[in-house]
Parts: sequence; structure tokens; C-alpha cells
Amino acid sequence: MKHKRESLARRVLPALSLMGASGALLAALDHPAGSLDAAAPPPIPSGDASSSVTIVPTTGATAGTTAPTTETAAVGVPATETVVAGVPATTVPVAGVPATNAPEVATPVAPVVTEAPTTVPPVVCGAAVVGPTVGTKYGPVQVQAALDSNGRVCAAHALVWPTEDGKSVRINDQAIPLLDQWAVYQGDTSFSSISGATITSRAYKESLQAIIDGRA
Amino acid sequence: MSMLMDRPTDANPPASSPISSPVGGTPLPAPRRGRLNDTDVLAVLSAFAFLVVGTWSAHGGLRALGAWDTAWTSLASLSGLLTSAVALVALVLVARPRSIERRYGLDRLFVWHRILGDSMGLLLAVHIAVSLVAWSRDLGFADAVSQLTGAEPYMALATVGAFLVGVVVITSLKSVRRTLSYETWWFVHLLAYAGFAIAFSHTITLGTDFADDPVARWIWISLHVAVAALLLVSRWGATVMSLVRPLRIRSVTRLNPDTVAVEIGGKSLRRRSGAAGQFCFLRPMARGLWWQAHPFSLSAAPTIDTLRFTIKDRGDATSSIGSLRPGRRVAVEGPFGAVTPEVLEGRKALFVVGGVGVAPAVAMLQSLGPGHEPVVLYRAHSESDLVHVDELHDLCERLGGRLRTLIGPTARLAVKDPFSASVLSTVVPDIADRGVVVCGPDRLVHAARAGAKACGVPPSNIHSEHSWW
Repeated sequence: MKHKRESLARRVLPALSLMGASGALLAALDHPAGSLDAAAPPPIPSGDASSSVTIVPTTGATAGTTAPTTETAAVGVPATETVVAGVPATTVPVAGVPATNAPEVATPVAPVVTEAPTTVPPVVCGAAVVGPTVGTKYGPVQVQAALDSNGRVCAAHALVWPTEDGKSVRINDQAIPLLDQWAVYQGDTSFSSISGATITSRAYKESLQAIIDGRA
Repeated sequence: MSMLMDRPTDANPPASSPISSPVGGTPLPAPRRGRLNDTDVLAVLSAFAFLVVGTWSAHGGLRALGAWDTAWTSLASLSGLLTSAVALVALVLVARPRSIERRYGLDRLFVWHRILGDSMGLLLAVHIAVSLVAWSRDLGFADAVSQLTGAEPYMALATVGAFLVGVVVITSLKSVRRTLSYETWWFVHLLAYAGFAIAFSHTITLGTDFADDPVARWIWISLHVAVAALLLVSRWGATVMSLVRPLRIRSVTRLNPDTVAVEIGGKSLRRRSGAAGQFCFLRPMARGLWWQAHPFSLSAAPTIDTLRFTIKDRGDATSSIGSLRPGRRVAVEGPFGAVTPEVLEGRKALFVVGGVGVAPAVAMLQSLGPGHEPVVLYRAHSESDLVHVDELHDLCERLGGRLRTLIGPTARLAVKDPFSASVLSTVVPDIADRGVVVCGPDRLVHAARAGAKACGVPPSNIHSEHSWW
């Protein structure tokens, strides 16, 4: 007969090899960026934490002596400032900011202060500036930050971040405080993105960079 | 309710009074007409479409179209939802649900499955492209690719799932499929199950439609579970049952060098219903054949003892069936198909058949009453290709009809198109009043359908099996 016996093995082979290729592909691809739980805050030396607390007023006082009005206006009253800045849909996130914000403004001062001995005149944290709103597919991100006389970020906190959906809320509740800390620790936007919140991190840095570049 | 359902059969005295078939024996009970009608199917489909688009819109999808920042994400959600929805419907079709199969015929379900499969492939491509755009706008292209192929949880599964589904879609394109053997294609096609299964996770963990809305998520999950259950029971359960209760070959008769008539019977046949014009999947339980099931038309009206199939050697497993011995077990799934004597609705009949397509015509003639005065136009390449001619001749004579054969390669025929309107109306002057049944190769089916239509036969009176392979 013209017919040659078909073998099951030959017919199944393409499907099986595709299956194997998929398995290999999956193994190669599946390395989800660490979850947010793995995202770490900047390594603030715990030993200095106590000293920094004592020094905070000093820096604050220095700032106070040089530019008391702007300082209080900028750092002390972020909520009003934002509203004035004309970001209408931001009242909800802003309301949450001061609570989380307060300790972060305090802690980041530590690195600044440790540097203080080298730069003879004490570093002065300038007026807080509101950065531009950066749109992402999950929603807008906006950062408010202050620069010191060296042009480094000495205070930063996000004013607006995506809260459209539950996932964004969960992610950003964790990521935004970390971003605020990293921004001040690093003093610029060179800190790495928070894994699991890559898009928010990008937008945060973009808004922050605009402040640093004086485009805000 | 049941009276309404039964009406079509009652209005069909010829079908319910079959003359004794040459095979003899009590006919199998005819399959009940499907309970669903077109309106029901449309209503269910519209409700489903509404549910899907409504889910997207309710979670802000429509509103998000207002700004470019969010529009791309929203479109990614929508295209993803539609991909899944179309895939679900396509899967329901191949699960061969009895009610839908009875009404439309498995062949037509397969054709719709193919159309839906192609559309699903397109939607999937759009979904991938739009998702990439949406993420690229925030991350840049390279990072977007790395996020969407693995860095984002569950996206590696989705990527591999899309790869598998993509392979299935591509191997099912007519031009590619023609180069593959049926079994190779079929085994690759099964990968779609794996693809959908592993890609499912990303639909409920990403995006705004199901990740944040427990109600929508549970509806979505139950839909998938329901379709999976339907596939398991209706599609694969039938295969398992055919293996558990196999029939046996009664006899194998060689009709010509290429063609055999195989009679298959068994006790479990009594549990089935079936009618002339339908087809079954046969899986001979023999070395090298048990893993492939091929569809064959019944060539005699099915009885409670015997199913007869006329099988032409196509150069694959079909050639081995002719060499099987009586007593060999065969797993039989079916019968399937909607072209049964019922479709004539008591009209006079015209059968246009070509090659081995004569099989269902012989079976249907056996079930017809005298009122149908059937005309059979039988096209074949050579005299030796004609099978069941004596049987056809006797049946036509008994029913007051006639048999015309047309033999020879198309190039040598006196007329270019033997099924043109002018030829058909000369041979069968009352064609417009007849129910036309066409069985045979694609080209013949197309030509005969076109010719009959041109003769004034309403399309609803032209019946043919849809070619799905």
C-alpha cells in the first residue's frame, strides 16, 4: 500500500517540543521583580538616629534664622501650599501626607548633618517647591521637594499619587514613603526604582528631577 | 412547550415513516431537535457581550478613554477582556454542547470556532500591542517589555500562554494547516488548553476589572470554571465514554480499490440516537490507530444494530481502516451533524453528490418516504469511483425519483460548469420547489450551491455539510 504507518511519536513531537519550549521560556522569563515587601528604605545608620534627632532642631534653627518665613511656609504648611498650587483632585492624598511626612522630614536630615562638618557653613534647606504633575497610566504623580544650597534634595514628599484602583493604593501606600526617604537620602534622583512600583517610581523621579533642574 | 418543540417532527411524516433499509433492522431513534433557537443563542451572546463590555465600562474603562495617559491602559483591558470572551465562546462551541450541536451541526460549530479563533488571534495581537504602548509611555519600550514578560508577577505565564495560543492560531491558518497532517495539527491545537490555563492568572490579578472587584472576579472565575466543566464533560467525557463502550466491526466490504464500506455494531448502540446524513468520529482500537479519531459519514440509515460507513482511502489512517478485521473494537463518537432528512421538511428532494459524498445521500434516501421523489446527481471522476450505484438506483426507483451520474474529469465535460443554473434547471425543472442537499468536495459544494441559488432555490432550502478541515 502507498500508506506508510503513521507513528504517534512523530505526530506528537511538534506539540511536545512546543510544550518543552514553553516550559523553558517560562523558566527563563518568570523572575518577577521582588515584591514591594522586599523594597527597603535607605540605610540610615541607626546609631546616628538618636544624634540626628538632637541635631534636627539645630538645622531647623539655622534655617529658621536665615529664612524663617519661607521655611515654615514651605515645610510646615504643605497642605495649604498644594491647594494654592492648583492641583484640584489632590485633597485626599494631601490630607494623608503630613502624618507620614513628619518623621521623614526629621530622619533625612541625618546625612545632611553628617556632611555638615565638611561644608563649613551649615547646609540650609531651601523653600519647598511643588513639582510638575507627571501622568502615568494609573494616574498622576506630583512631588513637592526642597533643595539645599548645594542643589541637593533635603526634603521631599509626594503630594499626588495614583489611587484610582485598589492595587495602586496598596502599592503606593508602601512605595511613596520609601520614595520620599530615598529621595532625601540620595539627594537626587539616582536612587533605584522601588520594585513592584516601577511606574510610580519613574514618575516620582521625573517630577523630582524637574524641581532639581529648576523647571518647577 | 414540548408540543412546540415536537412540531417540526410531526410536520414531517416522511421522516417518521422510513422504508426498510437494505441493512435492515429497527432505525435508531432520531436525535431530538435542539431546544435552543437562533433567538436564544443571540440573546445569550448579547447578554455575554453586555456583561463583558459592562464590566470594563463599570470599572472606569470608558471614562479612561478621555485622556491618553489612561486610554491605552483602558484599551489594553478591553482588548484583553474581549480576547478572553471570544476564546470562551470558541471553547463552548468545540465542547459540542448537545443542544447547540443538534440545531446547527458540529460542522458549523467548527466553522464558527475557526472564525472566532481567528478573531481571538487578532484581538490577542491588539491586546499585546496596546499593552506594550501603555507601559512604554511610562517606562520606555525596553523596560515595558521586561515588565510585561516576567518582571510583573504572572506576566511570564501570560507571555508563554500568548505564545502557545499564538502558535495554535497560526497553525490553524488555512495556508499553514494545509502543510500539516491532521494529527500533528490536532496535537498542537491541544496546546491552546495549556495556553489559556496559564494565561488566566494574569486576567484576575492585573488591571482594574477583576483585581479590585470581588464580585466581577468571582463571576469571571465561575464563567471559566463552567466552560472548563462543559469541555470536560461534553467534549472529553464523550471521548472517554466511546472508549469505555466501544462498538465492534461487523464487516468490511471493499467497494472499489480506494473505498470500503465498514459496518460497525454493538450493544451500546441502542443508547444512542442518530439519523441518516450524520457523521461519527471513528477511533479503531488498533496499533497505530487508537490515538486518532477521524470523521466519517453514515452511508446507511443508522439502526439499533449497525452503523455503516463508506470510507475512502485518503492516504492517511483511513487506508488502515479497510484492512481491519471483523471483531475489532472501534470507539465511536457521535453521530453528529444537522443535515438529516428532517431538513427537507417534506419537500421533494435533490441530492447533488460528488465522490465519497454519496454516503450521506444513500443514508438519507433510505429514510425518505415516497413523497420526496428524489433526484440524485452523482458526480465522479471515473466509472470505478462510483460506489453504491445499484443501491442508489433501487432507492430512487422505489421512491419515484431518478439517478443521474456525471463521470469524467472536469476538463473533459461537455459543459464547463455541470452545476450551473442552466444545466440544473434543465435536468431538474422543478428545482426551485425542492430541498437541495449537497455533499462532496468543497468545489462541488460551492458550485452546486451557487447553481441552485441561481435557479431560485431559497438559501434556507440548500443544505450542505460545512467543510471544516
